[in-house]
Amino acid sequence: MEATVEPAWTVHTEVFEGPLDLLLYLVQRDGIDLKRLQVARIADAYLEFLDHMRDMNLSLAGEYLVMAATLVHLKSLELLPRLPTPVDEDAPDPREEFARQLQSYARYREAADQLERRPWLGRDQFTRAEPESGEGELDAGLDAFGLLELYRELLAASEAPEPEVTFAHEVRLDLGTAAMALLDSLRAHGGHGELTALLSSLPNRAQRVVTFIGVLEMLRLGWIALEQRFHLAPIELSVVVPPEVSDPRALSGWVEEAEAG
Amino acid sequence: MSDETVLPFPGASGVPPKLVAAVEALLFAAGAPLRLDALASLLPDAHPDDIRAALGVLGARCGQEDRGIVLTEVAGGWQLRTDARFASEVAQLLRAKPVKLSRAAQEVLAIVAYEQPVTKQDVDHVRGVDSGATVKNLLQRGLIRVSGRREIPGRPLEYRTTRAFLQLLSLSELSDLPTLEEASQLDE
Repeated sequence: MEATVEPAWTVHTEVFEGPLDLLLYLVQRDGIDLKRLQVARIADAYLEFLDHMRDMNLSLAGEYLVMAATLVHLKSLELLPRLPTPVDEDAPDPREEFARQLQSYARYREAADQLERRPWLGRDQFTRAEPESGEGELDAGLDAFGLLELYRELLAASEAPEPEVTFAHEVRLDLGTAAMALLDSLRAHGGHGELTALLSSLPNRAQRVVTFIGVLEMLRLGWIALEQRFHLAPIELSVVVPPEVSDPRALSGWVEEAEAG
Repeated sequence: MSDETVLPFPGASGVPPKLVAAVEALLFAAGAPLRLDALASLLPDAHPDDIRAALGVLGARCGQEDRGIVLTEVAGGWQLRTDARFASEVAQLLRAKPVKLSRAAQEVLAIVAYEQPVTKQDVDHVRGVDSGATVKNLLQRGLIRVSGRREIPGRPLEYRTTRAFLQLLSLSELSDLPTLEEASQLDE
């Protein structure tokens, strides 16, 4: 890479994941022995690097400056004669703490590299089925498009000629009545039902259409829940609203508005 | 009795060929990893030891040079996968963008994997930078999950790796992770 031409100043901060990452890079580049706590060497290399960054007008994230301050402090401990302070007796050497943190980070980075070298599903290996997402327990295939598809299938299924029925008087289908009828029927069956079965049990196309819109409306209001346990599984409806809350006016009002407009 | 003597399982040569075939059929159809108990419940006539031996036979057979499928022990079960030798061809066929994780994501994942349960503060401390966005990304990808809260002031959330993590990295269980001491390089 380009970094081999001149010193490492062609490396930009974006390459580093943070000050610890930069420190590890410097430790490896300069062959600094962490065990020997060569904090002064590390601090010098780090500050020199930051100076170069500044010369190149590269902005530095706050963490880099905090680390610089820490390193200067540690270096000062090394340069100043030790004062026999009783407080310090039990306290660990801050330089050791620093070296330990750096080593610990190095260890996890190496671990991350090892994980990277493993065969990954979806990169190196593939399965016959699509890779599972998440915990894979509820991989629902239900979305607005799934519902639309179901609706179209439903309409196609009802293309079969319907018996000629002559109504003695005009039957007014409204969403509120259809939705409430569906709710009642669900409640009569323990609050659960299968969407396709429920809709295809209705006598005619018009009722199916209105009831389907009723389902969408009740879904919007949060009265019912739809669930599909896996892709292509039946879509299950369940009532989540208690009877006293499901006021049909919430629905019929919507219908009146729609009809007025 | 001819070339079956090199199989890794002691009783492998005694495994009924039909059982090996049945296990293969089930694994192929499942796609996802199948646990031994799932196989056993689907094959009630076979002894679990025989099913295990059948997996051994199948694994050895899939591992041959002229086979494109490998049998992988992953997330506590067994799964048929395409051989990594053909990764680019298969990815092209599936029009799948290869799964990628940023370096930050890999670091955070490694820390969670080895130290779980961990809080975001633990991760931040190890990495020396804020890892909030990366943790969120890994949560969204289902590779880590919230496992509870730590009973310290502020009750921070604790994270663990998921089954999807094991599947992604082809690990059978967490104990299959290489030990951290092995992983360390700077200590030497």
